[in-house]
Amino acid sequence: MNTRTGFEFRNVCKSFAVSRVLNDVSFALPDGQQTALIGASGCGKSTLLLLLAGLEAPDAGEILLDGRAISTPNEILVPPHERGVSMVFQDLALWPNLSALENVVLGLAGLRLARTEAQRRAHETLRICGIESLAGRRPGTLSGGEQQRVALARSLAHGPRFLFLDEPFAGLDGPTKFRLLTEIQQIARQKNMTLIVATHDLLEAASLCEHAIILDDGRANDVARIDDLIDKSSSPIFGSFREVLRSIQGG
Amino acid sequence: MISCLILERPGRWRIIGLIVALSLCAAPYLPLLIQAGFEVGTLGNIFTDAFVRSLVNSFTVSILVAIVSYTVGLPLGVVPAVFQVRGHKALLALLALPLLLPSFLVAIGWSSLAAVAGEPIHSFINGRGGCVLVFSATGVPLAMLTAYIACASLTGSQLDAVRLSGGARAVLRYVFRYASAPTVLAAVLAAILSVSDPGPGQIFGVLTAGAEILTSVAALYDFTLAGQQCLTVGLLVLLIAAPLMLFTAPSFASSVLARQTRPVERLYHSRAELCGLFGLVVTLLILLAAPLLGLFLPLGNGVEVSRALEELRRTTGNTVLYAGLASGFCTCLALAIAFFIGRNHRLMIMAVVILSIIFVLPPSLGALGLLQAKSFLPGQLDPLAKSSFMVGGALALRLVPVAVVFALRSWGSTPRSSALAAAIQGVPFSRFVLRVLAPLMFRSVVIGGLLVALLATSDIVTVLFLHPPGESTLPLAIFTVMANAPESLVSTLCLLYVAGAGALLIGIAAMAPRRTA
Repeated sequence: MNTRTGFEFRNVCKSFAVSRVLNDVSFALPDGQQTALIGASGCGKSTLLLLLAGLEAPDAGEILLDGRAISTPNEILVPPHERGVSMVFQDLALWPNLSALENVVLGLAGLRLARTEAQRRAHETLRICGIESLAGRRPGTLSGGEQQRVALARSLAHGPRFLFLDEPFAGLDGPTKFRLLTEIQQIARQKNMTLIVATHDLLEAASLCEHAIILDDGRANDVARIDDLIDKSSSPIFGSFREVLRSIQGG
Repeated sequence: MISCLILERPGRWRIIGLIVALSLCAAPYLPLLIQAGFEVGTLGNIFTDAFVRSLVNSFTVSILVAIVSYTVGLPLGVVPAVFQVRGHKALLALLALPLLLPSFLVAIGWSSLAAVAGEPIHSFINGRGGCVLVFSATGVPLAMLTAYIACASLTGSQLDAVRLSGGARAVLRYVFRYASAPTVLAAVLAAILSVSDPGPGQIFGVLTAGAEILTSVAALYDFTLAGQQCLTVGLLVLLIAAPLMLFTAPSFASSVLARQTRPVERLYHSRAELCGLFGLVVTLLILLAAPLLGLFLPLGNGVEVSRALEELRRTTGNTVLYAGLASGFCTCLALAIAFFIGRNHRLMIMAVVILSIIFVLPPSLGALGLLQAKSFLPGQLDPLAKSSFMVGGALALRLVPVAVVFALRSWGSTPRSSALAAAIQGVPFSRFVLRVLAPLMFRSVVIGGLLVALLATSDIVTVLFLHPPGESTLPLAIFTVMANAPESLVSTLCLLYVAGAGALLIGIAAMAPRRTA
């Protein structure tokens, strides 16, 4: 029996104050499959990632990892750092008083590595992300793209099984964004990581993932191939995407 | 291992912890309130002619102080916050100095100036007018700084949008409205604080509630009477303060404790700059320069260096010790309260309301409550109850609201995702606090601690009631000797105190975070 079956949502609901963000959401995210969470702004993509990561608990329903319940209503049974996940936040969440290297090294603190090993691993990850020369600089002195790479390096350094990207490329120019997308895809393949990307940008989603879940009005459909969704989905996001494609082709 | 997620997760422990911490802050006031419950029948006996007159005087003065503080403080805070006013930081820092001086020092200054100025200024100052001037010296800066901080929490884009819709005038209207509620709160706070302050009333010969309470304790040694008077003043204050706090706390919490996303780019407007500069300089001359001039006038008759240094040597240790203890206790308690509140807006409003009410209660109420609590303690605890720790602790509990504002502001400026990222990476809680949180919050918390130390130093009522025998502070020594000692000695001591407070204020100003674009 395969014990690495990935994440599963079962009838999950989540509200903040008076607004219900997720309403009876169920789906499975198989291990090793790169999946995009697609939906308009404010539809609950980030909340879904926070629930998967164990940073929030559901109000109802349960979340499973490899068949084992990890979150039940109002309870986080398995803490975030024991889920094998890592995340690049929308605002990157870099620690501003630490250098790029220190950000990565502190991110490894949970592994309790020897100091030299932590430094070595941090340098190695910064090199993979192409910013080893910026190791000594603080986030405030880096460009947007460089900051994204530091956040990515911090997330990759401890070798996560799942990498969550929460609208990580918002605010980046096109060339930088697509260079980063390609690099992330390569790294994910090299390290055999499962990517889960929250985005409202279909190009971004299609560049990184083969599969997608559409979030709409607090509900989610089953996982489907992005190609199929682009052709057939009735979701407004895909509808407008098809129109843009048609107008480009027509023009 | 404690997860960093604890910093951001809700939980019942937050409300329980907050209630425990706030109960600790309220504890000094409880003994007298409980006693009053048993002696309701005898409470009517304290309403003698003199006490009623003192209440009328105190509340008349406080109403005038509230009006002056709001009408002067609001524009003085708003204009330099949104318009370019050259040198405004130095002027604001100088105007903040009276906040950190015991009010009786300012009163002594006005009193000696009145003696030189002659009639009609003499009669004006030696009456309610003098009290209003002295208390406005703290009320105006408090309202001004609140308005300034409230406006500084506006984002650049908010102001840009208003500016596009109606120019500089619309911006001014918008920020006046935005800063109005917290400024009202600050002005009323300052006014209420004046009710229980005995210094200016005694110096100007005005019968005030604070002076009556002090007389009951220091001259009549009637602690029961003093307790009942304190309680009456406290209940009257509560009657005014509680509804106001409930009404303004939400806007105070969202404007003064808010997190700024993009700093305001100050607008250039020549007339606004001129008005701002003129207002700040004139207010500075009236509220600070004039009383300081009066305070130091007697120095022309000679400087009593040796006696002043002797007094300084006798009191410096205690002054620093009480201030240090108060600052330390207060900072720890404020951080705990900020931790319990987290980012929960309801808990924040609850804490702001309760702490504001505690802050405006007469300090003598808390000090007398602690004196009474001491009498119930077992004999083994006597060394602790009569030690400097008691004074430091009492001052800390009184000044917690100040430190909480700084702790909440610094906590609010760290993004939520910072702790979430640490939690997901498995960074141990202690490591995250030491490496990230503490360095980020350090400056703001230290400034809060230094302010508490200065405010604790300028408090005379709590120290007067609770200090161990012979262990006085410099302001208390000045307050005690001012009636009998030569004017030049009092002036020299005041000069030393003002110089010390000024130096610390410069230190605080130097530590204040710089605005970045």
